[in-house]
Amino acid sequence: MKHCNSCRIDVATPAVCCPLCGAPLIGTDEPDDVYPSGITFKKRGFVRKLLLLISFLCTLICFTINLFVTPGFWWWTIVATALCYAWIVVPHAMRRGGNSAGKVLMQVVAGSLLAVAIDFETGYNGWAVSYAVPAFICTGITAVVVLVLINRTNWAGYVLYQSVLTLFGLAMPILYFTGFAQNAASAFTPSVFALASIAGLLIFGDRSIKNEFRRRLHF
Amino acid sequence: MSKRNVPTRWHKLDNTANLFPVVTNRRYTNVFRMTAVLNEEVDPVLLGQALNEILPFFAAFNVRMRHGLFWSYLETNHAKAQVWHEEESPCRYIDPVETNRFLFRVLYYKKRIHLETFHVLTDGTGAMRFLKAICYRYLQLAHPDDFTEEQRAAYFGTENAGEVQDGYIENYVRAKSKAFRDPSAFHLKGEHRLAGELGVVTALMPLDALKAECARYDATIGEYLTASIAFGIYEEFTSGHGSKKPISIFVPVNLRPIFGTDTALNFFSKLSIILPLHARGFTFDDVMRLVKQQFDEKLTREEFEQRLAYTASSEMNFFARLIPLPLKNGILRIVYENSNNGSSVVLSNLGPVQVEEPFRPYFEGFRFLLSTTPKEPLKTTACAYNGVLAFNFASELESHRLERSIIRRLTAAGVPVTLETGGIKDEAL
Repeated sequence: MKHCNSCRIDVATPAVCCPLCGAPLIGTDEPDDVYPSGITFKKRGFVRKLLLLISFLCTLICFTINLFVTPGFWWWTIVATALCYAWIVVPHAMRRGGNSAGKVLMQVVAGSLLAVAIDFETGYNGWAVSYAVPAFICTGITAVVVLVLINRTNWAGYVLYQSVLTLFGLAMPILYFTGFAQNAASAFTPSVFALASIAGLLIFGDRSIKNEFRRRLHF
Repeated sequence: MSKRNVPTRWHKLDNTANLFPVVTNRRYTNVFRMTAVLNEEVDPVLLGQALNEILPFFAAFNVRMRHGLFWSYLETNHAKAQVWHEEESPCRYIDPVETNRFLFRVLYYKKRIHLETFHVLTDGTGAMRFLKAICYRYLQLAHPDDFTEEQRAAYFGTENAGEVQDGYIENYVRAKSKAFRDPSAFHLKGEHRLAGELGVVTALMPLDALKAECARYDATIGEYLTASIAFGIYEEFTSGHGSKKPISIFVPVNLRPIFGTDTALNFFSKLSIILPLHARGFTFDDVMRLVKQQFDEKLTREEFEQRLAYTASSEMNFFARLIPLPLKNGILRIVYENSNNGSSVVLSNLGPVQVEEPFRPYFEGFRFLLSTTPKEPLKTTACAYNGVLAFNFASELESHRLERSIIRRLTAAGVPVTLETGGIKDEAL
């Protein structure tokens, strides 16, 4: 063991200088290390940072062109919205090990918000709430049912997201009755999908599904 | 016990654990490491076998985290656990995707077995039980001839491993709730290492010599270490001029013996030793006196009942419970950011580690490390085994000024100190 005269300590791990004061150690003994040496750190997220910079530059360039070429119509906000959407949705969908049904739910929510935002930016015509959002919900419900059919054993893992999508579907007629959505047929279609999904859940759902609800909804 | 036959059970996060998933990321890892130092090189195959045999007994560890609409919860994990050769910095963030959803990690390096635990599962006491049980099983497998038939068949250290009641809620007394807000504390400043690097210094000292030094001040080891840390900060980080903000030492306290609830989940509270060293001229004896006085005042069941009632009351509130999880997490995060100013340094004293009789010759000692945060860049721990105290410093600061001050005080008092270091830049010039 090596020794530091100024700190009056023995050093039991490989060292040239005293770890505390930096003075040279006395002794020739080379002890074994207790922690691995040469630990390297991975630089994380370079590609992500580069893409973030490119997104920011794109928005900036679009804003500048917009300002000088077509000052009457603010189309750069559409670019900005689409990029925001991409930044929220793509990393979520690409995340390793996430719940597939959760990813579907995220796509439905983010897609609906994107549609509504673009509708607003192009002068509000109501197409997003009337058609786009119901279409997203119908697709979402169908996608989760397909997931359940493919992977029956993991149904319990999907069931919370399935329920939330079902609730969205059932709530769509409210938008029609309050006047936000204009088309009755497209407002009621998601409810039909939702009811079909619930029927499947009630008929085929077993004890494990019931337990899953108990766990997920405990408060 | 085959994993397939284990039914899926679940338990709620305990009262303190609710905070950890919200405030944890790669920077604030909330991971702590327990190390068993054996007298022989570790065989990874047997270690993996021992881990998977022991794991089903430990209801607090054999889980994965899931999120409900109102609360997160822990559910039986049917996957197989793995052991890794240690290659990276200690107390690294535990990414569930890498660990088959387990919230702990077992590593080995030469003679050492490390257990890194995400604090959501349990506290130091719970983790040490798990580590010891793994080591016992490992030793049984590695040395079948050294144990009797009866000893080989038994799973040592698995008593009470299935107890997952929430001690905080169980010992909740509504009337005792009292708001606690510790004053904003002095924080250690200095050049930081790169993110993710943790410098480790362990000072090993004989308990007899340390006890003799403590006896001079009529103090316990915990009180002595607390005072020497506080005085070290006063000397090194305020240059002996004192600071406006008090120097506060956060001492976690195991509540199991105090309340008689033996749970495998988190059950600890804290003791804040708040030292208003505002001026010049304080001596070590002054600091020692203040520390002893506060230990006497605050280390009472009454004090902990009040603290416990305060922290549990928010979870007991009916309306708070009905807030959806994402919103609840947002609120918790804000509360945490505003309240996490109360301590300068942590001193977690695990006390003497007890090992079952037949296994004693195989252990050289134990170590214990905590992960740091930007506001608490240095955390200290202590544990003892076989008459030797391991006083560990985990630091993300470049300099070792505080360690040097404390260790020089000890050696000057005649306590022989042997140093173990790890992490980058400590060994080279």
